Amino acid sequence: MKLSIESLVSGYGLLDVLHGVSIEIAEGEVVAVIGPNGAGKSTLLRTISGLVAARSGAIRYDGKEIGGFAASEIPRLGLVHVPEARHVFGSLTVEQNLIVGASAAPDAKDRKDAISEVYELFPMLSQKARELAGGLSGGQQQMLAIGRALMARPSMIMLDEPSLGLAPLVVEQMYEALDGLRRTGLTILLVEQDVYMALDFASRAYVLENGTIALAAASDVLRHDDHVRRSYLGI
Amino acid sequence: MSVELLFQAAVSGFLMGGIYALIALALALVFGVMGVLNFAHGDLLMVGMYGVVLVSASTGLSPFLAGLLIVPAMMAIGWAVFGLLIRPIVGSAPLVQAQLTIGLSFVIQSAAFLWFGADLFNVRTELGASTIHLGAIVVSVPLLIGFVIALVASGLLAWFLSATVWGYRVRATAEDPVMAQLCGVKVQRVQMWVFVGATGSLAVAAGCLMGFYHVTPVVGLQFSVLSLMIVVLGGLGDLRGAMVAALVLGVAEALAGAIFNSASAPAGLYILFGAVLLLRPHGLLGRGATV
Amino acid sequence: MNKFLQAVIGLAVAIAPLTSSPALAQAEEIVIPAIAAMSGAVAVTGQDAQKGIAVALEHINADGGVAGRPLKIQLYDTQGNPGVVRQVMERLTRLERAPVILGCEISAGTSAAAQFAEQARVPYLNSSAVSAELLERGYKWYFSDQITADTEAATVVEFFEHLMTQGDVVPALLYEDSPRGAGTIERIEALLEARGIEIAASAPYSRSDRNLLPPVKRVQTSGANVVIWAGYTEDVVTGLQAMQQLDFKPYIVGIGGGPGDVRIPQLVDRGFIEDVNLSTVDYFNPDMDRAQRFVKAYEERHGIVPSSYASMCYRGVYTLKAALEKTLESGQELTTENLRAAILEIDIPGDQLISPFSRIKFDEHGRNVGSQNLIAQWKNGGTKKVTVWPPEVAVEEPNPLN
Repeated sequence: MKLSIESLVSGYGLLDVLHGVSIEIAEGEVVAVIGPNGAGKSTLLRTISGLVAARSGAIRYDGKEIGGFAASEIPRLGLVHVPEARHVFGSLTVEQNLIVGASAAPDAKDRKDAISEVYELFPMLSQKARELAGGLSGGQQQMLAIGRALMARPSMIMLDEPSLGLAPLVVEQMYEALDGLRRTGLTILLVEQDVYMALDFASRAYVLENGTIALAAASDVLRHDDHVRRSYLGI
Repeated sequence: MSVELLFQAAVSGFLMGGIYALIALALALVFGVMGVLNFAHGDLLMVGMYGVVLVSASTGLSPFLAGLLIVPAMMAIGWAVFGLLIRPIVGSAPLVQAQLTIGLSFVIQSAAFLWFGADLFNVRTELGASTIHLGAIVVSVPLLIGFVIALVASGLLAWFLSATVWGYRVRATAEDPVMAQLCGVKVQRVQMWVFVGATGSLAVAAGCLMGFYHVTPVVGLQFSVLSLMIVVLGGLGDLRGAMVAALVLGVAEALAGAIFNSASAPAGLYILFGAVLLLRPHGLLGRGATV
Repeated sequence: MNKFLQAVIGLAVAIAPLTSSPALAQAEEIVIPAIAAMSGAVAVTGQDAQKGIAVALEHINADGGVAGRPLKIQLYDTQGNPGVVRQVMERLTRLERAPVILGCEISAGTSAAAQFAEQARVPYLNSSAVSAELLERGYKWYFSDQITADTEAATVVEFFEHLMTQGDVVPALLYEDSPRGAGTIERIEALLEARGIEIAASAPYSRSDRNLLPPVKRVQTSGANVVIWAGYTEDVVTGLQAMQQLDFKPYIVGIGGGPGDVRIPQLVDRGFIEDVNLSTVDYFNPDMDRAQRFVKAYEERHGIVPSSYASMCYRGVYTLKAALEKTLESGQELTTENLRAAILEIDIPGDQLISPFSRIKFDEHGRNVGSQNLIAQWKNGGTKKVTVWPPEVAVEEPNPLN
């Protein structure tokens, strides 16, 4: 198992948001997590990446327990998190953003190669290399956020609502790039509002409602599930 | 009040402003990266000034060199202060930060009283009275040297931030510490190094000041207030704004002293401060966070 | 003091513990409070006060104490803050019920203390503040054995007139603009004007200015060759540096704590000190014979010549002792009324004082009619203050107007 989560409980302050969530993702898989707002999807990713402390349960990555790790340690293990709303460093240039993304893998030579690879994947970024990230459009910032995460040479990437606020054409382009990454063997965990896109791109999905897993099945199966169709596909 | 006298004051004030800039930059950096307004900033500078006096007195070196020599010692002090006081209050309410750093200020002042007594100390150098004449304007050489050194140091700091990988990480931490962590940046480590570096740069500023000024256990306060004003005027968190504000304040302070030449001169400074905040709440260059 | 007496005292000091003789140790201690600014911006004054008082107590108790009883002074820190002065005075007069209070406070704090003492009807003996105005308020409980700003101003103008006999004199006034500096200069200005002497420039400055080139330059361009300067140590050091940078070498007659600070030779270029004939109104001449016991004891303890401030407070303890002894020897209790009466009866001749006074005797305003100033000049390559005025107490001639 690439990522294995067992009975995870976590939350903020006095509230628990996740009430015992269990998820398994095999190497090379593309898995989606869908569900309504406030269900705990973002909290799930933030707990895995170490921003929020797990209150109980286990998180294992490549067989290693990472529950107590600091957030800055996790990318070093090969697991990166691209959070909601992109969070590019607006006062740094595109290239400087990428360089910071390589903080987990600090070898300078490696860094240059990694940057070339990111520019190959997202040619638009190389054109804007010296521009301030704060001046990019939403779609460009999303590409940058993904590119920055790739600088750590991850074996698994978690994306939180990557299509939020982006035009359909841009979303398509982004998913094309993600598909390319999938084919290189990158494991992908995807939290998506756009359920159509999510079920198209992922082979499996978990439905997270009120902090627990309500359903877990192959995308094909979920597409035909009554509850999913009514609640999330608007059918 | 002749134009020549005003010009004389403005020139001296501008050079002073350059030194203020280095001092304020250190504070601006600390505030930008860890969100702490250190009210003991001027007292840490004072520690450096005493250090320069001690080194100059025992080695005979010029204060500028002495300032460079004590950089490691000041960095060590910064490391201790960060670990004991600053790290625990990162993220705390502003009032808590203010109380604790003001407490630190008193501790440093009292220690200085105990160790050195209330007498003032200065460093006498051969350069002490040398001047350069620009027409009718007299420029004090030690002040000029201090200005140049401070400018170079500020320039190095700016270069570090804008052209090195470590500089990018510092700026990323300042802008979005959570995201920086997700990129693998050890944010607490960065904060510590920034505080250590800022305290080290105060050593250089101390050397610049001791070229022509003196130290007593109470000088810290005026420099704390000055740096705080500069940082706020420049726009909290905006480094370039802080540099501009420092030069403006240096000139304003000198002009106020020359025109009003009385104990009420500093009041002019505070009025200017209040006026700028009213008109430009985001700081002189309009790029900072509001107070 | 003759050799026999010296030997006896020396023996007593050698045998006895530092602050009291065996006989004294049996008698009941007299504890009197004193106030001074031991912390804050003017902490130097308080620290000097403490040192001066300590030596005074050592000597008094070694000599047999006050009417056979050991004397102890309890020093209270006022932080140089009039608000704190009031708090301390409240405590001393109401709670501790002090019969008399010794003041080694700066002028600002002394004003608050005097007011309080008057209301509380407790005698306050000031030895340091030079404020003349306090003696004009009609207080019955405020006494000052110290010279006043009026005495200072008169001494300066006398010395200035002496310089006038040596050539053309163009005076200018340079001063820090606090009440102390401005007040003194105001008096001098008035005296000069009354004598029809024209002032070329008057240049006040803020004490906290880091750069005094503008006011000094203003004085220079006025063509002045004699500068009367009222300042503290910080601004005098900065201002002398400015003069050096401007290559301006007037004859300087200084006033206040700055020009006479014993540490000036360590802080300023000594050659330049000589060039400007830096002289200062002083309250103490460490070379006087009658001051030697104090000076030697102080130097032994602290490795430096005592400042005027330390000497004032030493003297103040002796004035206090005189009042205490007068009360006790007439069989009376140490009460506020008795001590007030005793103070008014004191008459200590000058040769018993370390200060250059003719005597200590108080008039009905509480003013010491025997207080006197002198003018000292930095000589010996700018390393040592030497009394040069008035001629009766001068050790050397003042430098000529060049």
